Amino acid sequence: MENTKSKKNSVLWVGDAGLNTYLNLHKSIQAHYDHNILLYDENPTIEEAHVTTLKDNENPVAYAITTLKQALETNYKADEFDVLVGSPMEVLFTSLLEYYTDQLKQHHIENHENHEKLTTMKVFEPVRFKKTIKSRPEKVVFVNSDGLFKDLKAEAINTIAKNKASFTRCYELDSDPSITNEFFFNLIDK
Amino acid sequence: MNRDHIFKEIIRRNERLLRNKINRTFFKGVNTDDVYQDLCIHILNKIRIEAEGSLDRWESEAWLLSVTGNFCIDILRKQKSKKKKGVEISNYTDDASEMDRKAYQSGFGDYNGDDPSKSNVEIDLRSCMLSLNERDRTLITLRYFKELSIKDIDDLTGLTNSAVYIKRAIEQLRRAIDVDYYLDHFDHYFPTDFDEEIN
Repeated sequence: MENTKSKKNSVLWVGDAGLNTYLNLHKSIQAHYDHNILLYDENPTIEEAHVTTLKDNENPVAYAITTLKQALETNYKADEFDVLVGSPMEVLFTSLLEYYTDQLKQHHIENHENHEKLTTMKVFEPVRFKKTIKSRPEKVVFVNSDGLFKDLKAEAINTIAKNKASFTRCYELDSDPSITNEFFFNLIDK
Repeated sequence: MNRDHIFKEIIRRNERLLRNKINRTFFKGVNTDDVYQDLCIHILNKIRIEAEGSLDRWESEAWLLSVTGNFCIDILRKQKSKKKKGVEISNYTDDASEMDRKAYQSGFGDYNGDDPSKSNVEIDLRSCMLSLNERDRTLITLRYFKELSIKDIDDLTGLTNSAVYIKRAIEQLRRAIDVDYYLDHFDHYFPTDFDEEIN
């Protein structure tokens, strides 16, 4: 008797690298996940996934970390995803990581402030346990690529170093479809 | 890595910069969105064929602006050239030549299409004249700068077939310059249709 998860893992595929990885995923592996795709300016029609595009005629978001973070905060609901996938070279993915990292920092700050306020409260005061962090993925998959320019490569390394502490588990994968297929096959039921 | 992927990221990061450059170059009569789209195709093709060792320069804003500037100058030059011939511009996809980049590296403001004596093109032609021998240089000078007829040149130099020497000298100049675009200007300033004069 197999011990399988009752609920599928939800994956957020971010940017061009995320989309590319999703499209190269074998159909039998795709079927085991719920798929969400976040892109900057493209809007492909994919029936098996929910696609969100940040930039359109009504919201001409500039391609910069600050503006993308604002767009994510106002227009994109960071629902609960189990896995985040993208390339640390892409500004869109970096913005999303920083968005989650900022949430975590804000949670810690609020928690610290509340801790001081709660010092005189009773141990089992319910309000102590009501503050919870907003939803964020547990796992993040950094899809690395060869042949990057030097500056982009350095930027990608910095992005990983700066943001990986905000997630429970971090993985660095090559963009080779055989490697990503194997990874997501092994990730089923975890 | 997929170069198309790199291209997309670079263009997204620099879209505003490139659009501003295009808007500053063209004032009216040109759809700058079309120019931007064609510029993107131009850059993509360049990135695809770029040698591995020099690919890094495409990260640089200065390089992107330089490529954009040359692309816009090409369009403007074609507009002026075509307008003289009464033909409307229909596309902007030709590449800039090496001579073009060398001549207009200092910026479009130095170029004056109506006064060739002030353009860098004339300076390059003069330096190419030095590749000719003394006889050919004399013949070119008498024909195109002194504006003597073929018959007068024959009388002056004692040659009986100066038209042939002049044609060969012009061919040598064309090879020395090796710029397709400038053939239009070249033929305009150095025509070799002497048949009526010889006959």
